[in-house]
Amino acid sequence: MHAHPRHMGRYSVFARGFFRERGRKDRTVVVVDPRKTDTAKLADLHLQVEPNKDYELISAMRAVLKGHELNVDRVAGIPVDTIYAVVEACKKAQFGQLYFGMGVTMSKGKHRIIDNAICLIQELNAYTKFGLMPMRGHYNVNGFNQVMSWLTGYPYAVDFSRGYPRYNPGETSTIDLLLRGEVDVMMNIASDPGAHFPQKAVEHIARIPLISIEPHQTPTTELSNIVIPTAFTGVEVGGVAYRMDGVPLELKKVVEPPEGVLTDEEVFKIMGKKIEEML
Amino acid sequence: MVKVVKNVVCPFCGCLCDDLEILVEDGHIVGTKNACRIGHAKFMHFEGSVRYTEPLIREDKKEDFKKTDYDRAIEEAARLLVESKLPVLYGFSSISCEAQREAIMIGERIGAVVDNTATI
Repeated sequence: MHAHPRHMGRYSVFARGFFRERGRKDRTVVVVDPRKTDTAKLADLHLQVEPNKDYELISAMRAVLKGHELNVDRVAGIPVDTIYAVVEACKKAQFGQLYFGMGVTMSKGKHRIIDNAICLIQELNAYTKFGLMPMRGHYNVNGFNQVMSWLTGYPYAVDFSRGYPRYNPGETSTIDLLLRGEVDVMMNIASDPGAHFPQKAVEHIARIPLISIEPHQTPTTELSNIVIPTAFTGVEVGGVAYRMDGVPLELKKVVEPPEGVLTDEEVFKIMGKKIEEML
Repeated sequence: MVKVVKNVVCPFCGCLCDDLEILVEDGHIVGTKNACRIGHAKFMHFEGSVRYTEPLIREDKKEDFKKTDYDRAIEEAARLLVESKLPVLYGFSSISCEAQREAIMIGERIGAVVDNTATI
């Protein structure tokens, strides 16, 4: 509720709809988090999972869903009775939705955790309608995945170095390439890896030429060789962005950008032409 | 005169709330309605940081930046990318789909790895 302040009010928990006239009262909220967050305080059930034990919890839920009995007192720090209760609540739901964040994709096990969660959701669909959705941090994370998918067939981490698109997270993903020191030039577009990447990856970024397409001074621009400022999309220039549920929306231009500042699209078009001349 | 721009889509998080009202006076944003605190800050430009309006360039990362024009900055960037063996294009999550498409085409042309913030 702090990273997406209006998510619960507008879309997920408190929103009143055709089937959920009473909003929050007609819904059950389960929060899985090692900490007692403000969101957890609002929940009907808080599964205070031990850090890095998400995989165990999901596996236990899948086992219970398949009718197995758990022969322990606790899984991942959670009493088995609570796990039975949660699985029962999920089965009885008319329409369930799992919203997940980086806790599931970045703790121990990485993408295998979400792989397991996808299996859980698939199996829950034998009983009821259930879906899952990543909580997108930036406004157009989903848009990139959509554009990339219709251009190459893969959502992100696409390697064109062999002349055709390859996709293998862990091999062709940015952080892993940086950690192995394989990258020799990086172009960073409207994001801040200097502040968010692991230390070793940032150390490699500091060693190689870095180009930043970025309107603000950030830790990443401080490491850059070239900074190309652009107009803010959605404030100073329009365009299309995809909401986290896959709905495309037209961003508006509200004010003029500072004089002489180009848009991202213009910068890439000019760059594309120059690259074409050099190759 | 304060002008109200209605039904503005918020360009901050993946919720893309589309009911914002932005108050504009003399070409400057003076306030927002319906936005959450993060969205409000994005429009009001609060980040407390320095906004660049001209491209900057430097040979050595230990030197200070020198101001330059778009033509030279983009030319140098293009040269770095063309001469590299394995360039990575990363980010993309705070630009429009139209701009993303152009950048992916560049990535394909130069044989780069193209990745966005969903990777972390």
